[in-house]
Amino acid sequence: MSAQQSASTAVQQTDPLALEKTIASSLKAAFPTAVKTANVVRRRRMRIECIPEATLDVLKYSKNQLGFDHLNYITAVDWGKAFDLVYNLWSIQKMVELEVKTKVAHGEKDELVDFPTSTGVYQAADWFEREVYDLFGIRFVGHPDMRRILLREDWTSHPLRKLYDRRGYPIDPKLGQPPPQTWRINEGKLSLPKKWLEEDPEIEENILTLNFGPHHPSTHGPMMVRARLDGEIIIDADVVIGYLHRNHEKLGENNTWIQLLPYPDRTNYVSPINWEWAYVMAVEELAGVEVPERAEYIRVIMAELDRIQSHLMYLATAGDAVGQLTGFVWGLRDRELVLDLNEMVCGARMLPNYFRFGGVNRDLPKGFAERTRQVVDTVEKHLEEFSYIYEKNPVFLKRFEGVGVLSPQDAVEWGAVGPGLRASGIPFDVRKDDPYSVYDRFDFDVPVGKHGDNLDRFMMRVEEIKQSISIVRQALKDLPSGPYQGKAPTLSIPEGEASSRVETPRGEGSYYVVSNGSPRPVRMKIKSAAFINVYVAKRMMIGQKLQDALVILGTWDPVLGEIDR
Amino acid sequence: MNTQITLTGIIVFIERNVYLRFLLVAIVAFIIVSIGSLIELYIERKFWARIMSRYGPTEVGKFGTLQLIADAVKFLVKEDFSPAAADKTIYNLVPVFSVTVSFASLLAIPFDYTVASLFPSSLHPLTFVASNFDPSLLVAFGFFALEPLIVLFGGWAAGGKYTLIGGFRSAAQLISYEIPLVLSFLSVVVLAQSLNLFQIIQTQAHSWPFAVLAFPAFITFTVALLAELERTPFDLTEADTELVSGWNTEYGGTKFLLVYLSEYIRAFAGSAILVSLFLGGWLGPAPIPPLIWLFLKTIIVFTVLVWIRAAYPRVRIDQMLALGWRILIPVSAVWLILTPFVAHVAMMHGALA
Repeated sequence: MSAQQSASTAVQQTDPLALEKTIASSLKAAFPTAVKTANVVRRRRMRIECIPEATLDVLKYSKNQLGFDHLNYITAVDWGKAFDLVYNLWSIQKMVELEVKTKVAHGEKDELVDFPTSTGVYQAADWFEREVYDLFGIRFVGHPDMRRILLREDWTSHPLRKLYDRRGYPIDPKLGQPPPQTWRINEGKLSLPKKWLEEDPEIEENILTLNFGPHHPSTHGPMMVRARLDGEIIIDADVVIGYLHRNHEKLGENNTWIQLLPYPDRTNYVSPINWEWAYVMAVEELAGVEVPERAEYIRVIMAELDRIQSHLMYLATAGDAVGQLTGFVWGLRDRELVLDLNEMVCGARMLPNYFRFGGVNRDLPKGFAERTRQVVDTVEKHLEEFSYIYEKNPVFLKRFEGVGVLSPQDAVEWGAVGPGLRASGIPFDVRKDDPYSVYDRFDFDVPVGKHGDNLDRFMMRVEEIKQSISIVRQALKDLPSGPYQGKAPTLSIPEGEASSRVETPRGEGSYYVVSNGSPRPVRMKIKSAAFINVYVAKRMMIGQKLQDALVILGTWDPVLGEIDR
Repeated sequence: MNTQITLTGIIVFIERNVYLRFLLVAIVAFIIVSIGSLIELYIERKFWARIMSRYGPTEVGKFGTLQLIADAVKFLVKEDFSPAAADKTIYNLVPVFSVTVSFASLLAIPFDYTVASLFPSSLHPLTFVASNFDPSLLVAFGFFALEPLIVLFGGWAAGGKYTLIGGFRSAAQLISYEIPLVLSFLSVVVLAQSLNLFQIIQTQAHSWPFAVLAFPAFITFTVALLAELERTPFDLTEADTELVSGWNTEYGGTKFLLVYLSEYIRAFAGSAILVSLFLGGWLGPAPIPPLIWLFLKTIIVFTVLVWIRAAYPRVRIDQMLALGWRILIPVSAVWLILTPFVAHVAMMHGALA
């Protein structure tokens, strides 16, 4: 969303920033000395800065008193002498985003810095803190499981610190360590019920630990699920990720803004367009670029088509997870149709590289509208066919209905986003709650589930395909003429920071970019939806049967490119 | 004239030697099952592919018919590999036993009669029929029920965790689905008053097919058979998305070929038993040779199994056991108790001879 548009919506309402101002003033009032600044960036987005000692109290207050119940991400920015530690919170009730920033000083060398953990406030902080520990070397004291997550266990350095180059070697060899030559996975300790250990101290060796992956049909990529089994029931589970880690965030710091345009495609290769949008939107907000109306409509059409094909991919893998291979092939068959449209528009099927700052790469080709209408008609018709092997099929219902129930409280507390969160009854959709681009002009529903079970999570995808088809039709009808590319800077992006929020098929995805005016970003943080969803899936697996656990993991639709980045 | 005398001599010799007769049966059954499993594999790949809106094999041979041969050759020339943790003796023997046992259950199915009936009656074809012995149904099932035990051994001996879980699932499946299977065919035995498959088929010549007379048993038998054949929705022993390939994960090359082949031989045997028990075996209205009838029916039954595979996902292990113990066993047991009365009523109305 461009700054002008948000300003124009702000004018229309009486006092659009009233809510944000109240929150800011109440934070100021509660912490007169601890909160240094409290700014309203724009509508539904505010940023506060506080002293490190009071950060936990501010978080607690924000969660309990102000209703910021959803932790989006935790990340850090290295400024050479100190980190900016950033907590991004979201209030599902008030629909406001709150960014809590604090300074953590660090030495010249690559040494660990201690900071109190926030897992006591937000359970979702578990994996985010591990990631920050892994890449920045901030050790969160009191964290239940403080070990690396994206890098290997034997890695000694923290590559997102500025003292490392893009290959992970220290620029000054005295200050840091080079990458290790060994290879050990992040093997966490799996626990057993205390009662069992008391009864039989040697039980540790007699319990089967099964490793699913990293090469396994059900993990959707190189990911490992370690499960401790009691018969067919999982007592404890751990998910090992990082096999596909390329450190996109470090790549972000070593390329110019415009060079980074193709990278979001590789972040999530199943829904590339939405991720391109997330990156482009963040940079546009930072540079104050205005996007022409036609470009916005083209973006909406392409993003919704992208959502359709990504969800079709989910319908395929949902079948695969329960041995329904017919559905698998059907899903891929229909996805091909949408990928053909991608090819028609931008020449590539999977990694389109279509969005540009201030617009798109090229205009829609001739005959695109008719072809798209045909494709969405076909997909809509095929959804009916799908229903016979899926939601109307008794055996499929046996595997999906009432299995893997996630309560709304847990869903929010564990940080779930996207269709999985909505299946638990929380109607959080960025397109509705924090509308970007021209989404406020379209008439569509946000499907919400009742039970939060596998079937609901499955049905969310089916319903969202229908909604996306409706949006595509509306956008094609209203598609305005005009330029498809606005004026945009190529090299120099003004100093500052910005973050975007996009409803990707797997949930809210966002780019947090920091610029100091140079051609390269200081920091490019990718908030992955699948990353936190897999954490939720891991929590849900415990206590489930072996067969159900993998179906549950599947309903969160993990894409390893996005999880590992 | 001379040749005829010699031929008669040979016939008499074979007739009198029970071992030779069984050897003949074995050869006949081997030829039939070889052709049968090739056709099955082709149907599995082509019919299933069409349901999925794929093409299946197209490149090797006309309509991809030679693809199976190409696959077999590929498996045969692969390295003979065995995992370090495996119990080598059992691990290597399991594929061999698997094929042998699957094949052995075919001996009791009267294929030899259908072949013999192709020859003129002057050769006294019926005297060749070795499968016409009294408890032939029990023999067929005896061999049929051995396979899950071999799967358990195979899973254990391969020394992998996936194979172990697959093997134990198979043991659970064996225990819970053998019972409804036997209870279901017992009601057919009551109707036909014989444990001889030959007799059971002959009885159906003068009565309605047992699929109609013993409809509930037909349904429970089919479901239990699906589980016994370890096919979707009961393919938990090889659940490919959970256990990679289940109990045969660690089997490769020629060993895998044998394991794979034994599955289809078993499927053929199971379908043939189903056809013999419930669908009248070689009997049919049109003047087609009995061999073709039996073969055709068996293949059609198998095609239905493929269809079920295409339409249904896999059930969970506890759901499968619950279906076996709580539904199939009570239904088939109750039906077995009711069968004498049904037989009585059917006889009064001429539906059963």
